[in-house]
Amino acid sequence: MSAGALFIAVFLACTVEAVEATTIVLAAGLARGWRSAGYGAVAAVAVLTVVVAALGPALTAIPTNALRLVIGTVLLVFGVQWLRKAVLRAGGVTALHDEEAIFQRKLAVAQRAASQRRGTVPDWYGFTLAFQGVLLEGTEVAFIVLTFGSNQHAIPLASAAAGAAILLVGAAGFAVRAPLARVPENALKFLVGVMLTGFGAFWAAEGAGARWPGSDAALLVLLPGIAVLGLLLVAGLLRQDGARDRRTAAASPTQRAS
Amino acid sequence: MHRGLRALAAFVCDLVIGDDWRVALGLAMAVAVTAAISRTAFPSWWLLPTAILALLPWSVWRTARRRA
Repeated sequence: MSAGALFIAVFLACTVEAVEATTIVLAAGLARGWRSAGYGAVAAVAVLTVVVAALGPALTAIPTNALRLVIGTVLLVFGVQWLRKAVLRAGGVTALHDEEAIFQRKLAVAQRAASQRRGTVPDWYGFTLAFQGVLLEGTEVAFIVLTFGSNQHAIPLASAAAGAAILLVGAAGFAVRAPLARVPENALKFLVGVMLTGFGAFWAAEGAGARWPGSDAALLVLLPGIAVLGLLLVAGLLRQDGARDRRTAAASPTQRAS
Repeated sequence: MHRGLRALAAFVCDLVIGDDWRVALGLAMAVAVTAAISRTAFPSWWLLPTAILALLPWSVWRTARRRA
């Protein structure tokens, strides 16, 4: 995997999570004040940085094949779950992630909570709301940085990609002071799901002792193949949905007549 | 402390395994079989793509049918 591909994969994955975290920080900032929300977000990023800094060197010390087997398997399972979720959302089976609705919900709850000062934090509720939001969404970022980075022995590069995504999305969110509802979150999730699944399968198989035909070039078939499978599933779900709607429409005059 | 560790384990489990544990189990089994075949003279690279090809549509259709 080239450095560019690693950077793009981690950057896209972290963009999805950063959009979700930004929505929560914005709600905390607008409802409770920017200082407490900012403290909370920075504290959570600091915790995640410590986690990556502590676990990163430990992971890269593990022999490559064992690391690829374990990390590849975990990435594969994680990636298929992401892809599954993105397919179900795109196919209309589950609701799309609505940043605007989530933002309004969080804002309404945050505006009702009582204010309490703790130490240098002017509003404890705003701090914990932003801290928890960034920590929870950021755990996936840390996970992706550690898995991709350790496998390629490039944790600093993976961290830089995650940092770039967080800074870009955070700055955009702060500039517009509104949830980034226009980011095609599910399309990104689909793309990242394809990448995580493909790289996970590739590394897990290599770690298990398999030899891919064409070595790294196998990824050029594996990744598009998984993307096509995902798109076919979305098309199938949409067609099924359309057929159900037509059946319901055709049945309703009969029901009205009876 | 004990409760905290259990909560952390549950969180990590939920993070990695997600909504359908059967898919996670199937993929883990496919990796194990890949490792077993790799010890023989037969090629084993095809097993994981085949597992994805079987498990992802199966899980998606199951969920779609349940929610229809």
